[in-house]
Amino acid sequence: MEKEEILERVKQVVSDVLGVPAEEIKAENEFVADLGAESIQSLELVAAFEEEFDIEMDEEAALQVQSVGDAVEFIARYLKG
Amino acid sequence: MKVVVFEDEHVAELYPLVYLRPVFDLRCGIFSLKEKLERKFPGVKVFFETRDELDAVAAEKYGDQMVNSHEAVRADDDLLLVNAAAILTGDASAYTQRERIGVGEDKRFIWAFLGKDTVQRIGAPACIGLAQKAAGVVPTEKVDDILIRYPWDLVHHNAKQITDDFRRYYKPARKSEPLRGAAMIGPDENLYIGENVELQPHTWIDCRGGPVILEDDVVVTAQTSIHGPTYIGPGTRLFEGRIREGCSFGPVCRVGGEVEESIIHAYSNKYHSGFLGHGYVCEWVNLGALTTNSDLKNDYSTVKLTIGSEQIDSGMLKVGSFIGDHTKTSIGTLLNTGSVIGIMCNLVAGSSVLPKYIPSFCWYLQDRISKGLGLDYALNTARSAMDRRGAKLTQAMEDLIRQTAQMTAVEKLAYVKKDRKKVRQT
Repeated sequence: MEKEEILERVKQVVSDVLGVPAEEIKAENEFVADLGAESIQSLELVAAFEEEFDIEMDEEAALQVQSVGDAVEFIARYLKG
Repeated sequence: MKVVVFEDEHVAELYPLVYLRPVFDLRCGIFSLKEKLERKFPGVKVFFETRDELDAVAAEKYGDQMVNSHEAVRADDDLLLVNAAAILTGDASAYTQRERIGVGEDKRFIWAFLGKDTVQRIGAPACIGLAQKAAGVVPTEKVDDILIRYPWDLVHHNAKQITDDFRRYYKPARKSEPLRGAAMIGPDENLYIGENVELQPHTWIDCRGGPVILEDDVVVTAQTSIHGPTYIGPGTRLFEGRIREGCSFGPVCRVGGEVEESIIHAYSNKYHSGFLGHGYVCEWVNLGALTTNSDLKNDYSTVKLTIGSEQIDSGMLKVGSFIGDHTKTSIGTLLNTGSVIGIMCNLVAGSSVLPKYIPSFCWYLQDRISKGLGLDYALNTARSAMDRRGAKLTQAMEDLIRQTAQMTAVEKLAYVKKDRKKVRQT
C-alpha cells in the first residue's frame, strides 16, 4: 500500500474519531495539540487504526504516534513488514 | 514437627486474585490463610512452596530460606503438609495424632501428616511429589477442613471465619475509649477496640450478630455503622460507611459507602458512595465514587462466573465482584453480578454494566475492552499510588507484574479483538 493511500485512510479515521473534517487534516497535525484530541481519544485512535488497517499496535509503540504523519509512518512500516 | 504449605495444580482457579500473591496470602476472616496456620501451630517452622514466578516476591516477604527451600521436605522431622488453599478448622492436635492424608469431598488433597521415617522412605524433591507418593503409603480419609477452590469461597466463608478467628485468638478489649456520642449495642465479649482507635460521635457498632474488631489506628468517622461479624484492619479509615456483616478490610484501607460480606485487601480504597457486596478486592485497587456492583441477579438464579476459559456455576445466589491488584474504576462504574476483573485494569464507566470478565492489563473505555497505554504507564500509575501511602514497588514485584503481563497477553489481545468486532457489527 502506498503512503498516499495510507494518509488518506488515516485522515478519514481521524476525522471519524475526532469529528474534524478530513479535508482540514494535514500530515503534520498533532492529535492533541492541533486536532483537539483528549487523552482517552488517543486510545480510540489507536484502536481505529488497528481496525482500519488490520494491524496490531504495541501499546508502548502506539504512545509514540503523536501526529497524523507518525501514524502514516508507523502503519507503512508495519505493512512493509 | 515442621509445616510445609504448598500450592497445588489448581492455582489458576483462583485467578486473578493470585497473580501477584501466593494462594496462602489470600484473606478470609481476620487473617490470611498463612497467618491462620502459623497461629494454629505457634513455634513451629512453616515453609512455603510457591509457583516459580512467585519465588522472588515470596522470598522478599518471608525470607528465602523459608520459600521453595529444599530444607522443607528434608527428612529431618515429622511433616505436616498443607495445601495453600486450606483452612484447617480443627484444633492443632487433631492433625498430628497419626499419619494420614485428609482430602475433601472431591478427593482433592487438603493436608497430610507424615512421620519422619515415612518422609525419609518415600522422599521427593517437592511437596506435590511427596503428597502424591504419600497417597500410596498412608491412609486417606475425607475431612471437614475447608478448601478454597474458587474466589467466591473466600467470601462465602468470611463471616464465620471472622467469628472463629476472634474466638480462638482474640480477647474482648477496649484499649481506646470511643468519643462521646458513639453508640454500641451487643455483648461486650463481641467487641475488640485496639490502641489509638478514633470512634467519632454518631457512629454505631452493632455486635449482636457477631464480633466487631477495630484494630490499632482505625478511624471511624461520624455517621458510620458497623455490623458484626466484621474485621477492620490496622490503619483503616471508614468514612460514613454502612459496613454490614461479614466484612474484612485492611490494613490501611479507605472505605465508605455501603459494603456487605466483602473482603478488601491492604491499601485499597472505596472511599465514596457506592455498593460493594459479596466481593473480593485485592491490593492497591481504587474504586471510584459510585462504583457499584451487583451481587444478586434479578431472576434470583445462581451466579455464573468466568474463570480462565471456563464458565463456572457458583451454585450461589449472592456473588459479587472479584477485582485484581492495582485495578482502578472510574466514577459511576457498574459491575455486573459475578464480575471477574484482572490486575492492573483501568475501567471507565460505560452506557451500561461492564462485561463480566475483563482480562488483566485491559482498559475498558467507551463501552469496549481496549489495550490501554501500555505496561510502563500502568507501572508508573502503580508507583504513584504506592508512593501516596509511603510504599515502594520493589524490583521483584515489578518483575512479577511484567511476567504476568506476558503470561496474559494472548488472552488480553483476544478480548480486545472480540470487542472491536462487536463494536464494528453495531
